[in-house]
Amino acid sequence: MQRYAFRRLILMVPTLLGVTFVVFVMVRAMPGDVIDLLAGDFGAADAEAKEALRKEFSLDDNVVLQYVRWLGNILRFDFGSSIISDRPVLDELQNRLPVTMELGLLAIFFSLLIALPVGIISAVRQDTPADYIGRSLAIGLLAVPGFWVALVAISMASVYFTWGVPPKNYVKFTDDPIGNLKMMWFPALILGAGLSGSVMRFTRSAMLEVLRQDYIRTAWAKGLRERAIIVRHAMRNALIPVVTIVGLQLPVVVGGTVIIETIYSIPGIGRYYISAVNQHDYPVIQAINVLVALVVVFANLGVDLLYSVLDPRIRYS
Amino acid sequence: MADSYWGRYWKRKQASRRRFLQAGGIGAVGAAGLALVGCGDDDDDDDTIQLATPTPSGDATATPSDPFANAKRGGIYRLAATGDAPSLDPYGNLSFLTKAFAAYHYSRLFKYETGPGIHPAEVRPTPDIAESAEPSPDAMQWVIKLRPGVRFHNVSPVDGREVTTEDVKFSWGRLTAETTQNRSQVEFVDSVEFPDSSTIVFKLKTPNAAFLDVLADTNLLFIMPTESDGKFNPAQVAIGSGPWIFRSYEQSVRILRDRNPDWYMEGFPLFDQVETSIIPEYATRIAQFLAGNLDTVDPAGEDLITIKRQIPDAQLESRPGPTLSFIYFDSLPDSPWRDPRVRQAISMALNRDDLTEVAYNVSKLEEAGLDIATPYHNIIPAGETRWWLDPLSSEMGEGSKYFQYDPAEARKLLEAAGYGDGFEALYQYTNNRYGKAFNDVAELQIQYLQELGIRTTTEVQDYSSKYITQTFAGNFTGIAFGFQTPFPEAGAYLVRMFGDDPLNHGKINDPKMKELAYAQYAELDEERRKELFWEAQRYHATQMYYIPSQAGAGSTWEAHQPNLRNAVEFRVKGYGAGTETIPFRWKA
Repeated sequence: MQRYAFRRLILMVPTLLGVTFVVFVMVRAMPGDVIDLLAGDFGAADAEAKEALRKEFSLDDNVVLQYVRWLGNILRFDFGSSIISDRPVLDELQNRLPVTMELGLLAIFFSLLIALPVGIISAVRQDTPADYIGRSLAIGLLAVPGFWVALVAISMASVYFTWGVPPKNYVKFTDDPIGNLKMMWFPALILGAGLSGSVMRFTRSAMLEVLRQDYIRTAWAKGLRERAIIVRHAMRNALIPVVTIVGLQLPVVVGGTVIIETIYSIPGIGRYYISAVNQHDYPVIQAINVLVALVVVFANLGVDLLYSVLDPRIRYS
Repeated sequence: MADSYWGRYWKRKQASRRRFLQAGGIGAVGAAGLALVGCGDDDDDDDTIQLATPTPSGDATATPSDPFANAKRGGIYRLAATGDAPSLDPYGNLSFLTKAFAAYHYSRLFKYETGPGIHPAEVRPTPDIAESAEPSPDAMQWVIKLRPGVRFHNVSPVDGREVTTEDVKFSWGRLTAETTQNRSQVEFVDSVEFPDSSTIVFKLKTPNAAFLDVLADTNLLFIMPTESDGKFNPAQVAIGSGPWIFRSYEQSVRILRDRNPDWYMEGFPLFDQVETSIIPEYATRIAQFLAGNLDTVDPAGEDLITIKRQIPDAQLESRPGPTLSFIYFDSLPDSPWRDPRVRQAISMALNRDDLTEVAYNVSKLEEAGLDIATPYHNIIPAGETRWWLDPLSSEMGEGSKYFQYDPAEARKLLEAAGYGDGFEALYQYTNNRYGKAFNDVAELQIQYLQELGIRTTTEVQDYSSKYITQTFAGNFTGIAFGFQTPFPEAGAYLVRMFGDDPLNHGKINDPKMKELAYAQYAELDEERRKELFWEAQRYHATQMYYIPSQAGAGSTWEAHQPNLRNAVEFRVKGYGAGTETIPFRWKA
């Protein structure tokens, strides 16, 4: 197992190198030029100003040199400074990543809170009204856009129940846990509800498969109560594929919270990323893409290792 | 200079207490009679702060003659911003968010005058840290004197030292540096001299009657301390001589600013602190306002009714549209619109009343009892009330008819130009920048063009990658529709959009327009200058190089909580609110 983990870590290196190359090229292939955007209306025809800006941000160097320099810097955890704000990118990421991670983890928590009971009940009570309601709920949660729910909730709260309007300013969990959760719980619930649809369906199908196994039939024959069969015998095996899905949702959540962050004024990675893309802020876009790639790669590894813990039949060599 | 509201105000302040009270008609009242409550610190206990003419009633509200009756000091003013300031350095970025941020902390030589009875569109430059400005008779030289005793914030490394011409020189150097994107706006300045520590001499290449507007422009000259070159990073910390001291900036969360007790306008600001929350989502801003968590918000027309219903005493104030939208054309020699009759026809094919209705829901708001202005833009936008000529007025002359919706006449003009069967054209605009009103107008105009016989192919362009870098800069074929970022001074609409300038979007070369544009800049007499503006608008209407449309012409609104005072009395256009209006507001 340790050798497997070590091998996977070594294999990450070419994967991440490939990611850095693709990100670097794609960012520069985007239509539009950050210098044109910086120059704006007034500098549009001022070639001297644009040239001076290009020099200031080392964008006049050879592209290969720019890539090599950037690669060398990120190996030293120097992600450079934003072209737009001149703030170090690493400082911004250090402030924003924990916010998005917290939102993501809370979202996954709510997703499981909704999906697991509904999926299990739906499987155990297959083809009953409870099953139909559960499956309809899953489809509904998959279909309804989270941003719509968020906007409707905020608009209705402001008119009908102003106590439901979330706090205006984000506070860190370490500074004020209650205040932080007051701000984060509802957006996390909306995100989690959106994720729960697919988790619920996986849970249901995994449970159905497990419930048909011989050892479950044996458990029934032995006269065990339903709760004991479900919780002690069936769930553990049924949740193995669910763990995979949930683990793979984490990078999706980290990268996909931009709309909820914008609506709820949460200072996470998503908002920062969208702003950087709109402004062609190369260092920020590159840094966040590499970061998300890292999260994906480690999440995949984590899920694979967890798999072997959950299922003793699985052994890596 | 003409005696402004502030001129009269400061003269009153310099009078003795007895003369001041007698002038107010109250008689001899002691210090306790001054209805100032809620004063926080020891400095407020002495008699030097005289904000109000005392009134007998404890709950009197501000009157037009005395906006500070019963003014209370203290508290926090809670605002929202739509996004982070890309840079805190006033010369680091052109974004309005950067400029609006800077206006809280940095002074300018001049600012815009605000106060009761002054319409935001009528604002005129008034001294900020300058004390006076003397133009030469030909407006080619301006001598500016600095106000004595103006100090930077009492924070390290400036430690409250006095502002000198060295700081102005440094700041001018920042404005005209190679990497400053809008330095072209001051290219008309030939040289700047600093004969002593309080005198600045600007020598111009060409006359500029609006030079003080240039000095008041929040896009241009902010006075930074020389220490910002090396002793602190202005991209991360703001240290100036403005009314607010920078306290903290939590990225994407909020900005906190403390009152500057040493601001040269003694007794102001009235609030202790300004909190600006970063709330990019419009619905969230409105929700926070309705929940009482914001004191001021920027509602769209359709939300005014909800606000009035929820908060009946909310103060709503509007101002006519400052943002000029227009159809413009490529400059290719064979294009149909080289013939002015084609351009006139397109203008007459637009139903401007319908465009206004679509963009601003006028009838619904009027039904709800709100007073909505619906002026037509001219080549000078309707919000520039000092210089705008109403296209429907009798003074407009022959050109007025080209603003009237008359599709039959439009088709005759097109036929007379040789395009009786119409023609094909590419119609392009951006839909991811300017908001719903702009997009709705852009789409509706397609219908009018089609009805005229112009068979359009629509190209919706991404703002960042195509529109601002290509189309807006004049590198396009066909017909385009866009907004012009409001200029602080109206003369720029003529000079920049018709002169040798990157903002001449249609690459127009009309000698008469140019002549009128530069003539108004050289005219110091305001009435004669206004006539030149009007002449330019009359002439342009016959040419329609840019066809003014109605996006941006509707009223823009601000809503304030009922207990906020002087929000309606002190208003300004542009980004200078941090210095020009907010210091004079307070909460009852």
